[in-house]
Amino acid sequence: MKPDMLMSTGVPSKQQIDGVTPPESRRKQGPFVVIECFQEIPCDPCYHSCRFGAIKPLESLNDIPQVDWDRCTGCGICVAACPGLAIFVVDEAFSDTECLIAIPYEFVPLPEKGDPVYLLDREGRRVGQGVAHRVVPGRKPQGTPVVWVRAPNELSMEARHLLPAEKASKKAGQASDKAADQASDKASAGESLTGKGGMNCVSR
Amino acid sequence: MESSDIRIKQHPILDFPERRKVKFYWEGKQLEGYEGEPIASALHAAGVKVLHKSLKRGRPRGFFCAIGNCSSCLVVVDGVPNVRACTEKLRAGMRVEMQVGVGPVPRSKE
Amino acid sequence: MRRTELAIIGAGPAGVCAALEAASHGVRVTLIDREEHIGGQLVKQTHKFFGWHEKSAGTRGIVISRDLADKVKDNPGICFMGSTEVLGYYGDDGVLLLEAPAGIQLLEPERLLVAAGASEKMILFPGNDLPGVYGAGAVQTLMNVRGVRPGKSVLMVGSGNIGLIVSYQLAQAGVKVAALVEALPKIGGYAVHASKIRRLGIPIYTRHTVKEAYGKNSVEGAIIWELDDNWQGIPGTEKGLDVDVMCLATGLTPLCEFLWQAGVEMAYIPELGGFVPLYDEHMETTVKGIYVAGDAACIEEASMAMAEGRLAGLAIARSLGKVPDGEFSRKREDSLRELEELRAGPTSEVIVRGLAAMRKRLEEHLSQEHSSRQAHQPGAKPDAQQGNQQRKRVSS
Ligand SMILES: Cc1cc2nc3c(=O)[nH]c(=O)nc-3n(C[C@H](O)[C@H](O)[C@H](O)COP(=O)(O)OP(=O)(O)OC[C@H]3O[C@@H](n4cnc5c(N)ncnc54)[C@H](O)[C@@H]3O)c2cc1C
Ligand code: SF4
Ligand code: SF4
Ligand code: FES
Repeated sequence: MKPDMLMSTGVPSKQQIDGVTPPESRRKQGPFVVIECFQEIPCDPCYHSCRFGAIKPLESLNDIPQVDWDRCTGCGICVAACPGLAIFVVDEAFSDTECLIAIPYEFVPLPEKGDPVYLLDREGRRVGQGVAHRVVPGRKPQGTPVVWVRAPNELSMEARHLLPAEKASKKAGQASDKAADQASDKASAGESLTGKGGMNCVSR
Repeated sequence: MESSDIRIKQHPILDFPERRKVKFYWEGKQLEGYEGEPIASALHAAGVKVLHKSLKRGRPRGFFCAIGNCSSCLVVVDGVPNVRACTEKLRAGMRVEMQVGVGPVPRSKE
Repeated sequence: MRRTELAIIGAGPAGVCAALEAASHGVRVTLIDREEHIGGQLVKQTHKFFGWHEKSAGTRGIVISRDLADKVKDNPGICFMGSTEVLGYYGDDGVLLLEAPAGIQLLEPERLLVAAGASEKMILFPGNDLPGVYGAGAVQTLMNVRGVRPGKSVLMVGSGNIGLIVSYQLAQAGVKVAALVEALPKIGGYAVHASKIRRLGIPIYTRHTVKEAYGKNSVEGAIIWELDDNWQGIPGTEKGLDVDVMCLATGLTPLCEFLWQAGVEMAYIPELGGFVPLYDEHMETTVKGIYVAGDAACIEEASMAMAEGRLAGLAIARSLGKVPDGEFSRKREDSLRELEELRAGPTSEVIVRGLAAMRKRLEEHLSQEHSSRQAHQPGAKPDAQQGNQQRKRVSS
């Protein structure tokens, strides 16, 4: 049997994503949670983190979490609580052209409010640019920082990671501001400067 | 990678506070490391990867397990061979040498 | 010679949970680890753990380990011997040989728990002995404990949870992960961990393996290639990777040298990680009074290691006559239920199969032993020497 796409590539399929996206009517109403956790694993912090009862009780620890869309306020508490970093919040009602996406971000440097960021998709490809709209830093060592990025509307269900943009100018003047240093900083999110993913392959 | 880049200064989860630096010698050359860290980590941070030459074919060896299990990291410390660089703590003034095969007959300390 | 009621080899999650449980019933425990710290693997785990919310799921390994260490230090019933390596176990005399900072020592425990964790498996390829080829544990120790980056660019080998998590941790430390290769057609670890590193742009090549690592004095690059259905490399599919580190996350195998030394019946059960001891549902091996828990018993997760540790600690306290019947059966049921539910999902199918195979071997062994005992002189069971007479077997 051929393994499914998720288990052979680590990237969920379109059907899987569609399955965790609320109906059109709900999407227009305001922020909603997107739980990209598709495999039965022994785990339940998402359920316990939601104070609104929007994540339905798990009958068994290995159950896949299910959302009650009517109860989800899009508060984003669960984004920082999920050990799999598999939860995002999307607000498509933010403005006519832009949406908000809450992304867990455990890297340094943490962008500051207003900073431009590159947006990456589920394969680490650079798909656009956005702005850090709100940054909720986590308390070290336990916390997971969450960055709410402002992104073009059409990327609401695509952008799932970010990289600080225009770092070179921000960091100018620092002793360590060398090309190599930048390269390794980019690599700190595993991404190559070309935006093609963090590969460095030459065919032989 | 330069030694200034190899030590992690900023990390999203962990903090690595500055510790006391000490000088030690690798193959006669003076290097710096943190007191109390394993010799192997001080050497790695200084860009030294080859710690040992294998017994039969003289192949270069570095550390492998870093917890004292595999003996891939044996060095000579102050004349004493077969010291595991990954577990032995760095002290000021230590003289560390690459071990070739089983190393020299241990010198007694004066 | 020092004596103790319970000696535990290994202060990882399994050993610590056993120590806390046993001490809570008044057992005097000596907890031994060759590291100075308490926590075993957890001190390197910067990511958040899965499992039950009430049982520290969602908490980072490093935070769990600090918590466990505090509990051990506050417990007057537990004597922690750090920086102390167990060198051997003399089964006939029931004595442990220890190398402590103060020198060689002997320790005679009434009960022994082996919770020494696991060691890493090596794989074969030309250049696998070059400096720069490191075990995943070594990479984690170097970067997360010592604060030193292992290199500039890494090829990760193995897509189990360890390979996936260490790739993520490398990225967090500012190290590039050029690729992750996996020989199987399917990612071995959790999908969420795999998705996490794919978002960072780290490619995962399934059905690929290392052809060779090259370099004069240390790794300067690696060549990977695709595998066919017979696990043979396919010529023409080679890719060169510009890496200075290769990180092997190709599996773990239980560390059970002390169990061999003690004459415990062992069996080769690949689902559990290789040679494992035979043990009953209270984690007691075929040698009375010797218990096992955590990765030393079967390669699994910390959540299971902790539950097994608690169960072993409880059973040991009970065997020393320190737990009343009612409390014992209640707590025992709790632990067994916890383990069962942790293993209920598809990700634990292999383990459940392995455990069933192990139990079958245990039953075969016990019935063989039983019949041979009936055939020869009763009571002259080889295991039952070494002053074991006073050791009551836990009801099972
Ligand atoms: C990269 C990585 C990620 C992981 N992620 C998760 C996760 O997300 N969730 C999860 O539940 N689990 C995870 N695990 C698994 C978990 O860490 C282990 O299952 C767990 O630590 C096993 O506990 P243990 O107590 O059996 O062994 P260990 O934690 O390995 O402890 C064994 C201890 O024994 C000591 N020891 C060994 N031999 C001797 C000796 N001769 N003398 C003295 N001391 C000795 C060792 O020093 C060590 O401290 C992960 C493991 C790794 C490597
Ligand atoms: S976003 Fe808030 S309300 Fe919605 S599921 Fe998460 S925690 Fe619950
Ligand atoms: S907490 Fe995250 S990883 Fe765990 S079940 Fe919920 S969504 Fe999945
Ligand atoms: S690296 Fe294995 S013993 Fe030092």
